[in-house]
Amino acid sequence: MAHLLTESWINEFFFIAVVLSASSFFGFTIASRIKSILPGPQDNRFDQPFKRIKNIFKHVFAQSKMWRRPSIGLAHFLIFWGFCMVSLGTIAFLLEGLRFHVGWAQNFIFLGIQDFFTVLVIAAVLFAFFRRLVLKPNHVRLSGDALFILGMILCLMVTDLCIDGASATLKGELKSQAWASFSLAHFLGFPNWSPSVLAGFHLVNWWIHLITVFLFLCYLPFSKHFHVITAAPNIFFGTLIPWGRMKTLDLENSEHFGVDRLDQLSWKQKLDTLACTECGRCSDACPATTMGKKLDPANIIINLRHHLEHKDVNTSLHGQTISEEELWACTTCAACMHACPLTIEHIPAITDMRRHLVLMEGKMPEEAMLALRNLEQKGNPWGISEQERESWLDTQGITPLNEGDSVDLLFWIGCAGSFDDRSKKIVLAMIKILNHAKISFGVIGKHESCTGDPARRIGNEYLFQMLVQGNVEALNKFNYKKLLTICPHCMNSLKHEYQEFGLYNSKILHHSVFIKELMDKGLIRLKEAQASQTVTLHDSCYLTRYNDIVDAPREALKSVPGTQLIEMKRHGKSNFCCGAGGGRMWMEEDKSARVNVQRAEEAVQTGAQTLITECPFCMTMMRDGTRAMSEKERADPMVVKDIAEWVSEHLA
Amino acid sequence: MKILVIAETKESKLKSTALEMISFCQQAKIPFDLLTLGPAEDAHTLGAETCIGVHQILSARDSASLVAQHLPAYTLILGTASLAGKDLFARVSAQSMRHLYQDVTQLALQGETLTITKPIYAGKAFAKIEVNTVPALVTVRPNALGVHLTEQENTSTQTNKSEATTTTDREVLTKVEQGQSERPDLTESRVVISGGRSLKNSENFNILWQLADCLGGTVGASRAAVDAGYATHAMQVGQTGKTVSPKVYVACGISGAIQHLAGMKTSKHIIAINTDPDAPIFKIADYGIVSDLFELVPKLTEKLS
Repeated sequence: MAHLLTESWINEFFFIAVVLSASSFFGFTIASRIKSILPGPQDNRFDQPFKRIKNIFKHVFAQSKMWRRPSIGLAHFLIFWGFCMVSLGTIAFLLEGLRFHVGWAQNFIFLGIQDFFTVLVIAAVLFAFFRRLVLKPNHVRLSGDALFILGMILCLMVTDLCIDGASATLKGELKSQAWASFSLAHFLGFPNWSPSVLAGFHLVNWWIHLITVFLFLCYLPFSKHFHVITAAPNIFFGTLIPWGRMKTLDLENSEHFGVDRLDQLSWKQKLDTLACTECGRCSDACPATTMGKKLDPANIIINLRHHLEHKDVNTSLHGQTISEEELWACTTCAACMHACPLTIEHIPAITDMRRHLVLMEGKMPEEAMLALRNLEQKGNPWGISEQERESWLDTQGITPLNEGDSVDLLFWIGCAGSFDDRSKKIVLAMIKILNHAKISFGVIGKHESCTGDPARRIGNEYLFQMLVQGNVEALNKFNYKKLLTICPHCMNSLKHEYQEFGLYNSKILHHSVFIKELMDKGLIRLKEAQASQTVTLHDSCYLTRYNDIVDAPREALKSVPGTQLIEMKRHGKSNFCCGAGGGRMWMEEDKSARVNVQRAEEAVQTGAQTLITECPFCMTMMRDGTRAMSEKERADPMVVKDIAEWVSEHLA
Repeated sequence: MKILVIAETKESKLKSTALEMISFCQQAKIPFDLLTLGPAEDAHTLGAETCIGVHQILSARDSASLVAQHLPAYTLILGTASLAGKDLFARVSAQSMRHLYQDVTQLALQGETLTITKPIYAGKAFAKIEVNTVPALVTVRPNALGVHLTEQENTSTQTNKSEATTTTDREVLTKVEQGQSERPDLTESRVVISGGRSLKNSENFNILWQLADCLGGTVGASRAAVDAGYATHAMQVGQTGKTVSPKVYVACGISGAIQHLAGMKTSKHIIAINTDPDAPIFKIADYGIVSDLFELVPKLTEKLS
């Protein structure tokens, strides 16, 4: 970006004044933002630097998550890279303003590339305007802020071309390599303008450009477009811990549990709020928002930022900023975190605030209280006698292991499998598969209790740790090589959260993965196909997003002769929750239409004959959902089966 | 020996839980006073020596102060193990530093010794406790004592206490709005008739109401029936609805999903009516009838009325 150096010292004086005051204002704002997020509990995000740098490449340079929506992904990609290239030009522009000679900036190849990106950015900005003002997608909040920023970018690009065109014409160096400014100059007829008018035009554009650059810079920290600056650090510091492992609270030495005030959120959790660009991808994915509940994950983050910016650090977040209703609507399905291109961590913020409600104020829905009391007294959420875990196994002729016994495979039955009649059938189907494959296994009967997953996600860390200690003590009495479970929630807790509490062996497999393993080893013989049967698979959030288990159940299903898998629109890592996660299974859902009914409708729409689930709680929700639907349509409900049942029915 | 009965009232009448405690006193032939929390027109006919009627509605904290004031004159203070009663007695116990026995299922007086029975370890076992502290604070579980009233002459003197009119409480209770139903509360009812999705519509619930009315009970519903719009959420029995433990629970057309069982498994007698002989409800039912509820329930009502 060549610029015509004027001789006037006034021009230069003002230039330096603008640069200095704007930079110091910007510097001051940034420093105060950093200061505002620092107070809080320790949160080390400097470990594994290479992995973090890799994430920068993946999420910043390649913008991997943005491409899930190809058209807006492309537009954003162009704006991002265009902006980076144009910024080089801006640096040259500023250096030249300070009378440094910047050779490379005069290079016509550089100018040509600059022009290319400038035009791309203009095109992308125009598309963004079109999208916001004409297309108006649901999740995009129309804000003056966004239009103002887009306007500024457009202004920067247009003035840039005008400056280049005018300056090249004045110097008599108008060359076609700088094709965009060249065409613009010819289009506007610069060569025919009188030099003094052209110089004036150049000067006006130059100043507009300069002031817009600094206005943009100074305005950024006050707008959602702060993400231009905060995105990269937020992605760099993004969590590398499995999402399924919640932060352990030190119950012995802490004075306060959970989050009531901002200084109880870690600096990274506050950085999240500054990184949010209100794109609404999380809201779009969220089951609660979709069903019209008060919870909107974007609002949680945005309201935290408003609190950070406008309220005293000592005021409580609960009540005005974040309501209880919002917190209790979350199913912890992590669709929001999966959707967020900036790796914002919504769920830990929500569960941390729940922890405050439960542990400090004893506030929670009444039904949740009942489930927690049952967990505490009976070790299962229904409050059924522990003895029944064994008496049921007994009727099936299964004798629990004795303490100290060794076994290759330990089958962790779980509460649903032990007490719920429908889930018992899943256990029996799995046992049938194990027997078929001649795999010996053991169970530990009444030594089991709830893994504590619902307690921890509801916010009762104390109860969770109590249950963990009991289970760890029990499991460590047995020697086993692998643990098998039919419940993704048991699996997640045992796998990610138990080691910390001293579980020796947390090699744990979900049954869908284990079935796939057995098939690969050739231990499962299946019946020849009699007729083609269509199924659709409802993924469990705790398998897909929390544990990366997407393909195994699909491959297992497809290996069953005659089974044809029809995917729902939302599947795999983008699946839609059944509505039971995060302890929601134990709470009433009366604030709006139900999540499970919505999901059942999606399943029915595939036209598949059978709905396959992988989790006993998804099973309950989907069965209720399909029945509620059949009620409406006066038809027989869609058949719901667990993957183990499907495979066991097709054993040779 | 003298007993103070703390009576809960509803619509200017003593609740049946209060009548149970009064019958206990009458049968044991022990003089007792009555403290009614709320207006009770029928209080002074029941043989109490003094009726202390508090006509305004007090908060739990104010009621507790009032009870604590009267405490020293008695050897035993009886109340109901309802939500309100347990709340009140915990406060009285804390204010007066006296022993408290909540949720008592049996009371026995032999001479001066009081023996109580109460569930421990979340109902896994019952403890028999000889109480030798005076005064003892006891809340009794609804339906545990039974009502066996003998009419008494109008002997009591009604006094209206006004000590608690000046409150220091931050919360002031101004009004208690009762649900519209004239029938007993679901959680306190001795008999609960519940219906499931197989009732097919809300009108069909009337056959359950008829049976309930004839047995002096009330009607509950499974979540499926509530979801389908046949019954209101206030009627929902189960994990995420109400927990009930009536003397008789009649499950009509309810398959018995675990979420439902969690809300009614502590009922004394469970009677299941279902067309499907394999319905899991039969596993926990004391009496199971494989039959169409649309035929059976009206017949049952007819026989009983």
